[in-house]
Amino acid sequence: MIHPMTPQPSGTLTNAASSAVSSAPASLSNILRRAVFGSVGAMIAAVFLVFLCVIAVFGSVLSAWFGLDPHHTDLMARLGASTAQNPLGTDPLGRDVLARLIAGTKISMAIGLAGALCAATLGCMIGLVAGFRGGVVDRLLMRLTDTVLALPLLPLLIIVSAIDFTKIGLSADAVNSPSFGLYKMVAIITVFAWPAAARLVRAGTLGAKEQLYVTAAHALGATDIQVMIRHILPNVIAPLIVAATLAIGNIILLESSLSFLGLGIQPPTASWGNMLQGAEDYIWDRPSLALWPGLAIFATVIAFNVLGDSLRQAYNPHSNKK
Amino acid sequence: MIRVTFNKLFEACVVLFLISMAVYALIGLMPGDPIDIMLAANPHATAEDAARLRALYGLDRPLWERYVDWAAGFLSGDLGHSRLFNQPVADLLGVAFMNTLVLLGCAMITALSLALPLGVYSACRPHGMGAKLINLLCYAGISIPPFWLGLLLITVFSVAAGWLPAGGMPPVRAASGAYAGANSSAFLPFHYYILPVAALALASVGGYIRYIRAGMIEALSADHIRTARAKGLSPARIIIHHALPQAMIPVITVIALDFGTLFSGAVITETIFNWRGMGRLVYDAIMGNDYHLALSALLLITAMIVAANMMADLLYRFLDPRIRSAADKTRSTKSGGGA
Repeated sequence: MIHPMTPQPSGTLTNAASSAVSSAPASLSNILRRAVFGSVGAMIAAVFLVFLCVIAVFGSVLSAWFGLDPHHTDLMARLGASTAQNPLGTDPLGRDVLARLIAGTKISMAIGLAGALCAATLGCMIGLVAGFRGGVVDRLLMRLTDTVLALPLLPLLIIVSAIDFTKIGLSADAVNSPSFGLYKMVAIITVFAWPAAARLVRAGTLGAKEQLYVTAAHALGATDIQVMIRHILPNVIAPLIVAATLAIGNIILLESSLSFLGLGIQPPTASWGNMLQGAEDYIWDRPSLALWPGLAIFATVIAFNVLGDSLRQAYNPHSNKK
Repeated sequence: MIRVTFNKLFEACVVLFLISMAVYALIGLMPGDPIDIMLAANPHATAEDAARLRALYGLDRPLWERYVDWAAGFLSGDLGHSRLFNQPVADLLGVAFMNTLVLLGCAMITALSLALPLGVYSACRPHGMGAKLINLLCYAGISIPPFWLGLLLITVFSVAAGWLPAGGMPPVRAASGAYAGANSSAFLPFHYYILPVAALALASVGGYIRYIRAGMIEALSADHIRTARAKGLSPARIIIHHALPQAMIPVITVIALDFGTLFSGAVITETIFNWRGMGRLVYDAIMGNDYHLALSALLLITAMIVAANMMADLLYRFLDPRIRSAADKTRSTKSGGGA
């Protein structure tokens, strides 16, 4: 599927070549529309994700409106049942579970989206260079990709998350600031999540660089960077978006797992994962405490997976339902 | 075939070597100093004591020197001593490795015996009600946070129903100390396996069903299947004798390649269910600042995964006569990559 969306740098040869090859042009917006409105499941998933984005953006305002504070502790009201004031009850420190759930939405969505975006960008660059250059560069980069793919992800993430960042020259103030945890998680996830994107982009690049319009662009004096960005990238962006959407769910799962183990987002900042931290200690007294954050993660990840699969089918309708 | 195997082995060794260096470098960035922790409980310790202990443990030397020492020891079979558990690292790893292997093995067998009929069924009737239901199950299995699944299972079967133990190891052994020597890898009563194995199996069954379904759909569309149908063979015979063996080739490979994912799930499962395996060992070691133990455990895990990947690759070559040499493989990925 070839669709150079960017205007060609003059030259009828390029246009003629591309229009001859692209028998079924599918623009990104086309794919997106088909994916979202293609099935009931995808539509529900999309609506749910939009709802989550609204919560993530306006959550703090909403909580304040209803008089809920995710950080307000009240040890007299530990592990409270659901009341009018605390609709979902309170946690072991007497904080409101609903308010923390809302605050956690922002963290999980931010890490999921930013992590997928950064990993896709890094993987895209590596895949483009590997596929375009070929030869030794390709072999080295792909060996690196395979190696990272073969690493035991979670044990390694446990070790990397435990790093003391003051020892690599960051100031203690920066490390202790609440938003640092967020950046740290995104960075760590990016470092280990890029290989899938790199493989995908490399495969697409190998196919696209043999096309006539790429040869034409070269002949017209385009530099390698220009060819890569303007002529090859548009060919690989659609599968990349599909893969990135599917990756968001996995990244949210990964973040929540690490936060659950106490190595991700640190309290008092609320994340869905760290709300479940220690939940097994209270499971005998108040099992419902473990219910809501887990359900939030579950629903969000399902939504991203359904939407991602729907995108894949819209992008490649002839593929088997895999 | 033999040359390919040797090449793969060499590559695996290079990967392990690089990882050991990278992780050793990371150890230098870990918070806290083991000596600080040792002395924290002792009010009489002076700065000289700390310095003496650092020299004793070799912590005053540069990182690379310590790495060379450690690597030399590792290669000669001396994995060092775990401060956290006060045991030789090799003993700890042996017990934890067996525990993890039992957990992973049971979970994999359970997941596969669930996934095989479900995957084949949904490939045979891809548009039926059953396939839709199975598809839903796949989404749930892939998307459920493994730790939450564990908590749910504990809530339902241990807290509410009281049928099964919530912890993975019987209380008697817990009292005798964690990782208590080689004798603690003796087999547990059956019911202690149910919840951890169920948690891990349920978390991976969704992915397996998808692989099997995809493989079967592709196999069922092949020419020889149509011939078999035209000859009037029974559907059961076609599926079992003709489609399944062909479908299993990529499925076995993908499942072996997925071993790392299964292992990541095991880390979570082991933590929730107090299962003293490799994942929990890495976690405990990091939490207890026992970085040598963490390094050795991580290397063993990586070796396990690299070995699984290698086996997947060799198995694929063995099972599929079309792929015999590395040259063929690269050619096929290059020509197939244009999609």
